[in-house]
Order: sequence, then C-alpha cells, then structure tokens
Amino acid sequence: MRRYLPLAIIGAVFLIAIGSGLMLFRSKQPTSAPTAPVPPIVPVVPATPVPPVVAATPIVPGAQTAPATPATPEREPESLHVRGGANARLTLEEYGDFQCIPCSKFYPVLAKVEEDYGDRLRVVFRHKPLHKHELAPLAARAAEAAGLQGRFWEMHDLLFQNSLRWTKGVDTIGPDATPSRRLQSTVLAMEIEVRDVFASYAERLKLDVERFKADIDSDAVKARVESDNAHADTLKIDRTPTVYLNGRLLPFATVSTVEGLHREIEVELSGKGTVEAAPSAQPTASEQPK
Amino acid sequence: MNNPQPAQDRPCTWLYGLAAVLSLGGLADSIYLTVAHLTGENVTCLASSGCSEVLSSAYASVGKIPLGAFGVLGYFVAFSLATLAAFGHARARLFLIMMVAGMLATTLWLLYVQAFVLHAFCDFCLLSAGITLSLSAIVVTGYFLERRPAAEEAL
Repeated sequence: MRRYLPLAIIGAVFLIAIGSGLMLFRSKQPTSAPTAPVPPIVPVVPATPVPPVVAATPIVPGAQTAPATPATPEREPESLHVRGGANARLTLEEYGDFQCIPCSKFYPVLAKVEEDYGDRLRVVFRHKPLHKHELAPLAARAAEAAGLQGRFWEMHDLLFQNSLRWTKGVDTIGPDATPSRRLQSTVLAMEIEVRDVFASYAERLKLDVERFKADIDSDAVKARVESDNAHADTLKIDRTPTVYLNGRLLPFATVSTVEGLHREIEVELSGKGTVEAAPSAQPTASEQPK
Repeated sequence: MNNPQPAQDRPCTWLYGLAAVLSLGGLADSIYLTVAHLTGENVTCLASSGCSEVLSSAYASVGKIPLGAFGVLGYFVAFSLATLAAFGHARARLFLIMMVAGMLATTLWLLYVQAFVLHAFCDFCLLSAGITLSLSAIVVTGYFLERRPAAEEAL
C-alpha cells in the first residue's frame, strides 16, 4: 500500500492541477454573451477615414512638431469613434485602455490589419479604463478632448504609440535626462507630469492647447468616457483589449498577432463566422441589448 | 506503517514533505500566470507596479508558449520528485537536486531580467522566485543531512 501511496498522491495532484487550471481558464473568459456590443447611440457617423499613424515616433516636449494635416472643422464629440470604410462588411470593435500594455501591443497589430484591409474594415474604439490603471481615465479624457477638436484618432494613435513613455514619465524628463532620473522614471509618472505630456501631444496635433486643457476636465468629456465605461460594464467586460469582430468576441490569443487577426477576418469574410452578424456590424446602430 | 523510516531519515522525510508543499504553491502560482497569459488578463500586482510590464514583455513567453507553462511543468515534476523522496526513493532525491538546480538557474536569470532589463518586478514572479530559493535551501539541507550519518560511520 505504502509503495503506491506516493504515486496516488502525484496522480491526484496532477488531476487537481489540470482541473483547476481548466476551471480558472473558463472563469477568466469574459462572461458576456458572445454577441457583440451594440452601439447605444443612434446615428453612427463614420469619421473621415484616417490612416493610422503607424510610425511610433517618440514625442518629446518642446521638440519640433511635425507638420500637421489641415485642421478639420470643430465639431461635436462623435457619438461613436469610427474609422475605416463606411460601408465595410467588417466591423471590429475594441474596448481599450490607453495605459494597458496588451492594448498598446494590440495597437500595431490592428494598424497593420487596417492598412491591409483598407475600406473593407471599419474600426470602432470604446473606452474601458481599468480601475487599477491610475492614468487611464486621464488618457481617455485626453483622447476625448482632442476629439472635441476633431482629432480623436490622432490622439488615440499618439497615446498608444507612446504609452510606455508617458506612463513612466519618460516624455517629461526628456531624452537627455541623467541615468538616475531615468531610473526613477521606471515608477509611474505623476498625473501632473502626464498632463503636460498630453498637452505636448495636443500641441503636436496643432490643437488649441488651452481649450484642450480645459476640455480634459470638462463634464462633457468625463461623461463621454463614463458612457463607454458603463456600456462595457453592462457587457461585463473586465479586461482590455476586448475585441469583437462583427459581433463575435475574439479570444485574446487571436488578436495578439497580425496572422491571428487576419485569420479571423478571413473566416468572417468567407461567411464561416460562428455567430450571425450582430447589430453592431450593420452600418446603422440599433438598440442596446437588454 | 510496515516499514518505518530509520530515525536519521525522519528529518529528511519532513524536509521533502515541505518541499512538496512548497512545490504545490509554485504550481498554483504558475497555473494562474499561465491562464492569465492565455486569456490576456491584466494581472494586478499587490506589492509592486510592474506586473503588466513583466508579464507582457518579450521574456514572458518562449515562442508562443507562456513561461508560466514551463513553471507548471517544473513545479509539478519537483512536487512529484519531492513526494517520492519523502517516501524514501533515493534516486528521486538525486533527480530533485538536479531539477531544483535547473529551476534556480532559471529563476536567477529571470530576476536579472526583471531588475536590469525590464526595470520592473512582478509579485507573482517574485513569489515563484521565493519558492524556488526555498526549495534550493531544502534540497541542500537534505543533501547534507543525508551525508552526515555516512560520514559519521566512516569515522
């Protein structure tokens, strides 16, 4: 009996480990329905297709700003942030957090896919600033404040391209900082420093910086971010990026590579998607799921 | 209870039992990290602020396999060997020493990466490092405890 006891213990632990791993995996999957989020707001006005800014140029305050594209007229905050083909068959909806590292890693993946599919793909971005990311709500408001001046997507791109820099305050201390200061910058930057960095991004985008600084704390902008956040909560989204393609929730492993996302898109284009086209995939939004 | 352990083996039995329990802790830690990696969960650190940086870095996986999966395998093998060693299998003790030596080397490398490459620490990785260091101390202690009676007999 004693001879087999250790083997029995090892076998039991093996089974428990496998079982608990599988249970944990299932519990960590988003509990929302596999059907996609439905834009709650009525007219979805696709923004002018704006090519994603792919080159990740680090931004340093005070540096020469790049020539801006012609300013678009000021407008009301978009009810939904959309870019890509207005009549695209494919709608990819991302719930993202600007301070989330997986989101910043997903950013170039999506940028490449947007480039590859052009007008055949429409991308929707919604805010889901996670509670544990102290600077994420501020970043979301910065994007919205830029959006009030017609530059949401440009700010969105800058925030993701430089997320590792502004979260650590690298942009604040500049490229010539001493090594000791750089070492200190491995801790999270102060919010006041980050505000300056965001203002420098606004300047780079040729925004009205004073207005941007005021808008970032405005009730309208806060409400816009909270609206997305609340919508994500109704879907029980608790991680970012959470990505839906034509209403179908894509596993994280899929969206982490260009190849994986290509594969899912091809499945969708071939009509073999596992879920019927969801309302959000339609050009016009419908009602929010009950 | 048919074959009671010799008196001098009892401390080693307890030591290897402790090693098995510690390995279970490492196994649970690794399972959590593997699942978090596969589901894309943003792991929350309790004591440090670098979990996201560490766990989403290039060092967090080997190819497409998360490093945590290797941890699961390593801790399970360590648990099995420690259990067998606790039940008196001499060869298992030897393999356990070799296994823990490999885990210690990996742990030291990962600590170096966190400290000097990523400049960020992850609680769950530090917990795993602590467990591996404890396992190392245990197998070294066990090794010397086993050698002592033999040395005394030689005298």
